[in-house]
Amino acid sequence: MNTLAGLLNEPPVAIESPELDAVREPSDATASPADWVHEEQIQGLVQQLFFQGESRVRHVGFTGVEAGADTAQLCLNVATTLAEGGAYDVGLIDAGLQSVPLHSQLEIEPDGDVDGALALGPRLWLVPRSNWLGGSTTQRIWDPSLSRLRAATMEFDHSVVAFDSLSWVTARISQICDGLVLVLTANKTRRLAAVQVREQLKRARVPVLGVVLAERHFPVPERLYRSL
Amino acid sequence: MTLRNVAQQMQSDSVAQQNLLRSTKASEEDYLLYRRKREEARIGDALDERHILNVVVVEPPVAPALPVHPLTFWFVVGLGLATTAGITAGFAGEYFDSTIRTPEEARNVLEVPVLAWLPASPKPATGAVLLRIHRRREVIP
Repeated sequence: MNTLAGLLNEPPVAIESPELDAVREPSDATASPADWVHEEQIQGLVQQLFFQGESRVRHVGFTGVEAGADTAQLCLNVATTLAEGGAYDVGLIDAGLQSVPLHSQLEIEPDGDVDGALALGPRLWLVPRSNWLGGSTTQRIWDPSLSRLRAATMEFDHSVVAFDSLSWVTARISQICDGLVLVLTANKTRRLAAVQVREQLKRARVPVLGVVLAERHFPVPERLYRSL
Repeated sequence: MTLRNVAQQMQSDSVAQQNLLRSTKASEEDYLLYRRKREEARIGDALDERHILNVVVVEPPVAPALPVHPLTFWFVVGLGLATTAGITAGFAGEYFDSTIRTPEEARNVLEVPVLAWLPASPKPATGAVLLRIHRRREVIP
């Protein structure tokens, strides 16, 4: 297994993503209003999170309040938007312990060693969990693993850390970040559960940088919305 | 007194007797009527005291040939009731729903800024997302 320090000095592992060649980005004419809103919101999130305020945030974790909240795609979108500018090295770091590996969730097939950092694009890397987890298990996180994870985040100008849904393990690992963003699922996350999570993070002294409300539904059907 | 006088006297008395008999009979009928009424009143009072309904079918019911209200009336009434019930159910559902639905709710409940809200949409392919960077690189090397 590669050590993290030397990981990024090595040439990145090439990835094969079947969609990369096959899928074409939808043009503005075919993109739905939901796509526009989605892209606009992600850009706003990146702007607010990383480039506003006096204390610049560099390393941010994303965690869902609900079990099964899909943070992987959100993290990829945020990391991609950050990397699009071309001004920063951005790391998308898999810090989930219970869920399916991030590269599998994103349907990215690494060509060769899965422990190495995967180059997703210019100045954008994905660091799989096997890279920093070492001897730790999903139930017990050793300090060396946390050190490796912290070192992994520090290798990049900005890092987007994808966590599992919130638990005490997540709260412990999230200490390596500048703060956490809570991902709420609209019409699913209960107010009481969200408040309890907020209190737990407060007790664990993990800063909550903000929330993202995902899976929001609108009463107006898209076809009707287009005709308005 | 002559016989003629006696006969006239008897005729006169006979008329008086007839009057008296009629008067007696009328008084007797009145008496019986009053007594029957009094008995009915007494029975009525007794039933009222025991809360027993004292009803009499005056006229047996007859099914009307035409409905009292037309179908349109019932349609309008039904529509009104359905609308009211629907609106009530909607408000009740909103009131008792304990989930977070809007960014404002999230902000008020958690007291942290809402950085973004994302519409529910089909999950975009990873390749399509990554392609943005590659295209950008082609345009801005």
